[in-house]
Amino acid sequence: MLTKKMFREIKSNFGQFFSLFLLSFLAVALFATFKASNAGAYKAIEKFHKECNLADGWLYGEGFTTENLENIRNLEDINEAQLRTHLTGNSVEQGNAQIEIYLQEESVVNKPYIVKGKEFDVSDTDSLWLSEKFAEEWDLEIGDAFAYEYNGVVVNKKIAGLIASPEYEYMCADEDLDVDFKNIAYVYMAYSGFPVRELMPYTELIFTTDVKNVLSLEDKLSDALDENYAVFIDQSSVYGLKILRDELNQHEQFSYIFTIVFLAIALLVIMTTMNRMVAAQRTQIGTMNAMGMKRRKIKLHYMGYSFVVSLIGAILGLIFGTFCLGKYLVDVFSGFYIVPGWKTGYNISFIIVAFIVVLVCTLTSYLSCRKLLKVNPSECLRPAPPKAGKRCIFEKLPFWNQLGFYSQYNLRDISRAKLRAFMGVFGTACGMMLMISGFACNTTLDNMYEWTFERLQNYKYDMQFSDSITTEQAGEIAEIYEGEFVMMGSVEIAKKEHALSNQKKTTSIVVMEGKGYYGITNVKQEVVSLKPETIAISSKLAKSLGIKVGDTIYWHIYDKNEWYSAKVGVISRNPTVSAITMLREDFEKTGNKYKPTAFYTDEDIVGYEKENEAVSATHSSKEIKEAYETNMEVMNLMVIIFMIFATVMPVVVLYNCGNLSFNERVKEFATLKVMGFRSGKIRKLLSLQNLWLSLIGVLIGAPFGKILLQYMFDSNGDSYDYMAVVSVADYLISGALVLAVSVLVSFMFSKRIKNLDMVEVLKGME
Amino acid sequence: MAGKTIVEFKNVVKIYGLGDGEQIAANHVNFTIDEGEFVVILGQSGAGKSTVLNMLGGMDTPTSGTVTIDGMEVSKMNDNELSDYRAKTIGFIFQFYNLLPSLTAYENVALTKNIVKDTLDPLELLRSVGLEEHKDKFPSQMSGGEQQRVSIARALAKNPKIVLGDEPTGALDSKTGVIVLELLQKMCKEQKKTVILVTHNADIAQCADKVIRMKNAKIKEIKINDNPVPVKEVAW
Repeated sequence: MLTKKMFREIKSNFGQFFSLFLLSFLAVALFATFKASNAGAYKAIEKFHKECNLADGWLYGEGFTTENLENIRNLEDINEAQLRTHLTGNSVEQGNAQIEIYLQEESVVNKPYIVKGKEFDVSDTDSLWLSEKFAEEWDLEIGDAFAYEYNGVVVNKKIAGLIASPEYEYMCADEDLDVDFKNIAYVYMAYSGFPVRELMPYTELIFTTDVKNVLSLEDKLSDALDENYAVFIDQSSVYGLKILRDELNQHEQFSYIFTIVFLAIALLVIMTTMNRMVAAQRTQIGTMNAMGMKRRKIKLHYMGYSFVVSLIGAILGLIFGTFCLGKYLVDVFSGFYIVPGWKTGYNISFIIVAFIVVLVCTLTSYLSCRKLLKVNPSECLRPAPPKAGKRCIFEKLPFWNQLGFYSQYNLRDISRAKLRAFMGVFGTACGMMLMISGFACNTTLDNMYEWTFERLQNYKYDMQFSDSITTEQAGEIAEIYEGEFVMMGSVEIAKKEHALSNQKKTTSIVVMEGKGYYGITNVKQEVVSLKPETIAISSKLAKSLGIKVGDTIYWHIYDKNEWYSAKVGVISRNPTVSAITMLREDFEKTGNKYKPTAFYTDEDIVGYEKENEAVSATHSSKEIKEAYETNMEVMNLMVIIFMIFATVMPVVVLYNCGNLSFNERVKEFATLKVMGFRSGKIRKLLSLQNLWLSLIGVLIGAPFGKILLQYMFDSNGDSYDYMAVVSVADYLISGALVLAVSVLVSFMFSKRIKNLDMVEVLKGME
Repeated sequence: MAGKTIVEFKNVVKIYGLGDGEQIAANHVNFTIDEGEFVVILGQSGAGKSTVLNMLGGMDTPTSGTVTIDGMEVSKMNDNELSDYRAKTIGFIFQFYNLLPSLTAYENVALTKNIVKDTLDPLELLRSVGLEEHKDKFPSQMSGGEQQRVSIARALAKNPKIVLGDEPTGALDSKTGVIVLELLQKMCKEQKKTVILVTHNADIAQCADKVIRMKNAKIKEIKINDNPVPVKEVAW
């Protein structure tokens, strides 16, 4: 019978219970979505890495010998080790695509994963193994010929296999802003298959180990190599691995954040719904009790509402999240990342979370009506006694007596219902925070556009050079055009000399001529110039290494062994470039060859790549801006999501608070109405409190908007340094909108006040 | 002692629900009440007495017929007019007092200042109901009888022409009930207020000037008491 009662009442309170269903569904579904994709990814990645025997350590240097290799192999902690030569070239027929070339004499560590074709064979000098995605983009098949060029040498071989490599789970050509498999590929080849072998040293020594903290091996490795190496890194610093891992981590965080947010709102809904329902059914409870029904049974009955509804939500969420949304997410992300066999997965945590959601909902239901269920049956048959009123803290205010009736009344009410007031403030604060983040996203993007194109990139055209550019070719360009050469490369930096691997940072170096085409800005986005004999360092790098202006830092070119020192003159900030920046004259003083990678000018140089073979591409600023805008479209999605949350959050929270408030005070409102208060005055009483709480929420939430936005930008990783910018208008508009929502919600109650059945309420009938 | 007519129910019909669920709560009810009368509407539960009281108080409107109070046709008023009517003409006393829990005794009475302009002095009123010392107490700190006396003070504060009571002694023991009733009777006589009480307690009817007895949604009898019994002599 009780079950019948329950289902009928769920039906008559459909709105409330449906939102509870939806919220528990979303909480579990979103968890399952991210987790299903992640669990599947981790499983596939583990298998992938194992099959390829992915290295644990990478040593880069100017040239390793077989003797070096033997010494490393003889170390106790090393399982397997191997040498290889890594070059970067360009494809001949596929639009100058970036080709990463690996030449090796054996294949023990980082073996290519064969998608199609025959096993990688180091004795086959006529073939090469090409990355599968690139082959797919360009319709290359096994048996086709493929040619690439390195330093003027053209290598043409037959494709023997299509492969994938864990080192390139994520890959993006240096010139691209976004993943485009048409523009980047990697090739595995027999060392002896490369036509020129003089001056082709082994640049990498890779190994596997069982030691957990791989970087702790550095002392031993360094001894074994007589300190003859440039860089030592572990898996966490390999770009192709790191990006995917960061993404998966972010999804992992999302899965918990979404679950918690939706669960929190669900709890709010349960608290208000159950509280109201149980309060309204006081007499029924008393009757059931008086009829001799066990109290336990009544409690279970009321817990049943939330249990049944949240259980249905959780189960459907589990199914929908794992099999629909999870699969969709995998489909989307497997287009960006290459992990063979990435399918949705699941594990016990799904069930645990679903269970927790149901448990918490049921428990909240119990807690929110526990007090009411405790009353004696005889008391239960009479209307509830008045809630204890007492002096509130606000009465100590010196101007208390000057306050009007509405204010005094509401202040006392707030101090009586602290939880309700807290929820109201908290809900609006969250809404305000999201609303500001949403609006500020646009402001930030506008600011970044202006920052990038008016202060950092002060040129109308750019020219990209291929790796093989000579000093003469560069000189030719300088003679024709007025502009600035820039060289970009990889370096490792440290705060002190002889730093260990974990005290070093891999980053970029920008060597410029100081003509102003390539702009530098400080942390306040103001344009600054670099003084000779000083360098600029990106603010995020400086922060993580603890570097201030005037400090000395140490750096070396990534694949060269020699270290140099430099004085920090500027802490710079650039949203998309994390680097140290120095002047050409200072760079050349180190004795290194200046090999520009780009040329910036205001003169129209489009099409020049056809005249000079050292030029790989030219762009106009219009193209660059377009590419930039396309890339930023992703952000628009973020803005929309923010906005939806920002509106829904205060509506749900304030409506529920209003509902709770209305139901708790319905008797008072009826009394006031009978005494002759007009409906409008009563509404004023109710809305005034809502408005106060929202106003406090708005003020508290405002500063968090910027913090949240900066946090979201920072979670993009160390290579980006977006600066959250919130304009005064953002604050004002967000505040006004949130308050408008609050007022609107108040008006939702005006009809209920007007139609308030004074007779029934005051008789305490149901 | 009877003055001019202040309440007139003419052919009042009240029907709740529609179709098969139709329920007649007042069936052609006719009566008048004069200014300054102490009236008791008596009847078993379901007799229709609360329906009549609700229409008197402007909390409900008749399905047909007219309710005229103090020259105003209450049956034709809208929500705001009804609020104003309740504010100026009617003082309510409830069975369960319905004081606002977050206001003190004094504040509950003073609350009327937010409703009408000319109110009586709250402190004076509390004194007259014998609660001057309790003025700073909250409802939860007072006994039922004390709360009901505050509620009377609150009803009087607006200086209404009519005081309506819905089982005002229903939740009280007989000793406190007597005190409350005495207060109402005294007020009726001294301040020339029209007091209308609804009750199922026939003993109370002995104290009234006029007793309207209801049964099955109809008026069964209207009796004028020429010699009402003082409350003290009534026992229940």
